[in-house]
Amino acid sequence: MKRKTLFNDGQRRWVVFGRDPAKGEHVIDTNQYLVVHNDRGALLDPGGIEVFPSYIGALSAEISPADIDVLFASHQDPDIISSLALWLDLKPELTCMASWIWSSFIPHFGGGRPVQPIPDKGGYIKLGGSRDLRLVPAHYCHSSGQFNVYDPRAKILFSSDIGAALLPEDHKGFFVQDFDSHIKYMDAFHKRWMPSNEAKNAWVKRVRRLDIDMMCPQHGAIFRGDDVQRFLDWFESIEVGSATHNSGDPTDEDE
Amino acid sequence: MKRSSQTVSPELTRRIRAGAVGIHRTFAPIHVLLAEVERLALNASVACGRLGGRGRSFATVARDLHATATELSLRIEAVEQVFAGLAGDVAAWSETERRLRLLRRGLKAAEATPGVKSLCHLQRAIRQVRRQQHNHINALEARIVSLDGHIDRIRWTAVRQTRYLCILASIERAHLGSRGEAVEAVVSAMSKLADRLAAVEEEARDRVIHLAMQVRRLQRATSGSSPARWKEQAA
Repeated sequence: MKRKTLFNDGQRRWVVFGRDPAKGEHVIDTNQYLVVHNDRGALLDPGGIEVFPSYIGALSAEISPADIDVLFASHQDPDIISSLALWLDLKPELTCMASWIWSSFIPHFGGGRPVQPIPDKGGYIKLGGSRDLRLVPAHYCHSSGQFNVYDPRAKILFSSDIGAALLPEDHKGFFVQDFDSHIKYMDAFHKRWMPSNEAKNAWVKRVRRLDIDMMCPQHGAIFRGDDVQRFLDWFESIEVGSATHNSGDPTDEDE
Repeated sequence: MKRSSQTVSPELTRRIRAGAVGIHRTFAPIHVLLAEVERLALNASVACGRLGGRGRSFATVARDLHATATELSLRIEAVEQVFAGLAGDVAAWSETERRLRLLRRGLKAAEATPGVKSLCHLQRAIRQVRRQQHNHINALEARIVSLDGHIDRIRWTAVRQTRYLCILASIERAHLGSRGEAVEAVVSAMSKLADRLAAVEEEARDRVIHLAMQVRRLQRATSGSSPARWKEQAA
């Protein structure tokens, strides 16, 4: 699995992991993020069991599992947190955080430990003595209980499935190169996976108030600089929850 | 051989799952047979009533058949509980096997990554999951021993008792002469029932023995094996 440092000021560090060449074609590609503060680590959306071996292999070069304190699950999907039991095998005292609506569902992935519930309004991830990793509500974008992580120090927004793109296999880079040509990889995803225009627009309004250099989704490529605003404009302009028009209805009689 | 390469063959895993399901399936007809024992006990009571005073000694057979049905019902309930536990043990062991496989792959990937900080957490996690796995295998073995005991008791309470009552009923039939036609029908049904109970018990016993052998293989496999030995394990 490839990795790239996105930010490092000596005390705070962001690293992205993904583009796993060992991953099977049947498994969607995911980006996993490590945030380190004062040598203590938090894993944002640590991924599914299928990517665990490659991820732990690559992660071990950045941080010892002993120094990881927090697993953050932006929502409940298997590609986000089905590896939970394996992380708890590595370090049983890890704190796993997720929306309160999923905190009793996620333990079904195993591990035998409770998940720390995040209230709807959000909160913070406490890490290595810091308390500035903000949990920004992103409910119904797409999950009904979902959070992003905003780091004002690194000016990075981890946006989970917002900004996600289904990239072709030959797309090797971590960053969006040309926004206009990138739209085709994320258009269908957002229109189908995001269920609510109201929730989407509320999220855009909320995020426009943040100072963001990088927006990091869980699938696809990272938006940098002006591409962040381009994405917000594009996302605001589209109608979501609208991709079922052509999907047909199995109950329709075809006579 | 490095411990990190130890894995259980998928074929052995499949056989153990199939073995646990197979015993349950083999045992399923016992419920039908229990209903037949109960019906037969009722028929015997009716035959007794028809014979009046002459059927007094046959009444003992009818009463014992009722007792056998009750006893068999209790034994079946106990076996069903063991089956539920067995399914749970197999599922728990499969889960640890899957985690172990992923952790070992993770360790292999970490070993191949330059500049790795520490492998001790991964190694410790593997040891811990292996311990859990051994506990599940031991629980599985204990459950199979318990199942074997229950099936043995079914043989004693149902098969032997039904055969014994069949002999007693035959003697009564001989004493009754031409009046014992109703008893004759009960004796014939009892004899067939005893044979069917024995067939179910024998097949279940064979499958338990087979599963016990697979679990022994599993115990050997988890204490040292490699993909090259998978065929040997599965043989």
